[in-house]
Amino acid sequence: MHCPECGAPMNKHAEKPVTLTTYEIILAIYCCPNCGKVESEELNGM
Amino acid sequence: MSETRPLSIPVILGTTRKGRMSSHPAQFIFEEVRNRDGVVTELIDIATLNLVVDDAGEAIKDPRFSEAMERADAVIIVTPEYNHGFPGLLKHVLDSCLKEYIHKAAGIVGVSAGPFGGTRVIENFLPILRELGLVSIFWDINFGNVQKAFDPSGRLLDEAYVRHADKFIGELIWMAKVLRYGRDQVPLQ
Repeated sequence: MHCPECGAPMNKHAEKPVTLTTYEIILAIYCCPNCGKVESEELNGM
Repeated sequence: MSETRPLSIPVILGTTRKGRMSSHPAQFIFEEVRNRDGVVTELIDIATLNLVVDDAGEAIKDPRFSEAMERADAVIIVTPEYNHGFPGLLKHVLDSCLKEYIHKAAGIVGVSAGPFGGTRVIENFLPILRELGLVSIFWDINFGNVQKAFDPSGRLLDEAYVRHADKFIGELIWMAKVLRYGRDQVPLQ
């Protein structure tokens, strides 16, 4: 993933399990080493 | 790690109660953080945020708060102890974000009118920090008998808090630097 703010490659540093009201997902968390922008994307649940 | 980007450490004043005594400790710790080199901060009073109460979670993000949490490398939460717990509206605010917190440092300042300085509320807070993805430090600040720690104008009356705040902030900065390096440079295997 690339940073939507500055275009730098983002570092995937976490996969966080999240229980929503009706189902569980895993969020992949990315950080931009250049500007600190945070992004996430949903992965398939376990 | 970008060395040109200062650490961002906002201070959250976690109560909306009229006559709240936590505002003086929040202002004090905000000034102490602001005096550190290489750190930027802001004081976020949850009473000024625009969060509805007929919904909850990430659906009700306040842009000012979520953008501050995204910029943050660490957060300081100033919370009173009300009936051994923290204010419900503070939880409501914190629950409005998630990805913004992950692998960032957190320190808690407890405030109480009694002698224990929020020790119970701090212990109650730790599992919540963990679930939010925040990393707690092992220094806290406990403002017990807070009505005696400040005069009515907010002037600190006990200089011991300056030394304690220095240790607390030093540890928080160390953790914030390490976690920023990890977020920026260490990929999940």
